[in-house]
Amino acid sequence: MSPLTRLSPQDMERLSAYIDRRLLAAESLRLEQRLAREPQLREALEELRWTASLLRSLPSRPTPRSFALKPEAVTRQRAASWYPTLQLGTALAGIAFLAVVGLDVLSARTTSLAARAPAAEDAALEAPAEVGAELFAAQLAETPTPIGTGVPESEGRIAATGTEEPPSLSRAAPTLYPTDAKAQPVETAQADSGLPSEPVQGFADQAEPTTAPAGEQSLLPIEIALGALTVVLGILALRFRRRGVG
Amino acid sequence: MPRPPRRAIIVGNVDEAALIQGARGGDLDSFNRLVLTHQERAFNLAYRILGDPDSASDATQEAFLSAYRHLRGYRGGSFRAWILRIVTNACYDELRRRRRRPAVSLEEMDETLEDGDPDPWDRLGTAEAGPESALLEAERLRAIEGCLAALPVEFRTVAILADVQGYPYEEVAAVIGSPIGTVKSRLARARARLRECLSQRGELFGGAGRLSGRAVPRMDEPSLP
Repeated sequence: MSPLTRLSPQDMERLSAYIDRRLLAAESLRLEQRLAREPQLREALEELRWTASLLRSLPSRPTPRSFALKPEAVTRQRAASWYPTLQLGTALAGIAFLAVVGLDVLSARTTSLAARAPAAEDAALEAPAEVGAELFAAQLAETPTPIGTGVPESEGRIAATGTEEPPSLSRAAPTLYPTDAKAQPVETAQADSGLPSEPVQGFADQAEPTTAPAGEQSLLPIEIALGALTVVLGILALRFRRRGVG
Repeated sequence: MPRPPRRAIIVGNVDEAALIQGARGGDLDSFNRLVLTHQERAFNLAYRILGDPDSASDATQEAFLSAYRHLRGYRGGSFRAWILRIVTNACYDELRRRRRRPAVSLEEMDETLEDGDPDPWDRLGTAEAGPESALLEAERLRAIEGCLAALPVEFRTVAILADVQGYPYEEVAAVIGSPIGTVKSRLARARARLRECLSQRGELFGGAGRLSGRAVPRMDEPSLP
């Protein structure tokens, strides 16, 4: 067994540093005193020294070619260096695109769910609805102006859409015309989105510019822009990758 | 230990700092002069870490391209150490790639190291010595290389830099990006492991791994070239 295997890691480090003359003078002196009286330590030192000398005897291998850079290699590498950035950009744009589309779909589904609100909910709202209906009727009576003549109608609409009333009253307003049970959910949904129910013709006309699809219209250009950005970045990334590889 | 005063490194009558400055300004010729100065050391480091000349060539070329691209990141100090650090990192990347996609089995690598195809470099000194002596020398070299290749890569790198290439501890520390204490410790362990490995090839070194009567530096001899 080699004497090196019996050495402590500290002694091994000391001997190795001693070979390279990297011990402080005092440490070196202490080690030399130990070497004088410990034959095994001396033997370990000689073995380490022999190993180091073998490593130093390894000849240098000549280079197989020149590694000087060619201008086209540098240009190619510059192009290739854009690839990770473009790859990341494509991924981010794609994620953003999916997020916006997802949000859009989710909001559309929420709207449709709200439109199909269970009848039980409406039943629960019936009592306050009567109050709201009375109030709504009173307001209509106070504003006999023909439909489409302007200001008074607008004021009436604000009141009816719940700006000044609790939400339950505004939701209940359409129950003023509960002639058809099937029509109820639709009316409720319209009230939710701040629109008067179908029979109140004047209010319906006024509400048209601010209808629910406005949200969808605002997301569509973003979706198109993000989709286009993803495609463009993806194509660029592929081109730069090929340029780098080729 | 007092360090010698820093001198300007002259590369073919041109100050290295001037070449670096020129290369930073986009002058490829200046950079290529630096490449020619350091390419042999860079290639040998890569060759010793990776164990085959083709991968070493690729890693060296990759390292010089990377150095050119990141030249603005060089903050002074030893340019050689900076280049060798990039080479070392390129080699580590290659080793990681190999670990993920091993193309050659360990047995095959071992066979290559043991048997190896005839290579003029393996027959060094054939002109001066007889064929038998040249064969023995080639076998010894192969045994040393085999034991070196069997070391864990972090020990191997330090042994190559400090012993095979003969850099001072400070420069080795700069290349591997670790404190000098780590260099000392890894070098000591690398030497001890190599000794153990070489002792199994004792017949090549004159006896069962004992000292072979080769030229061993004296205690008072400076150990680094």
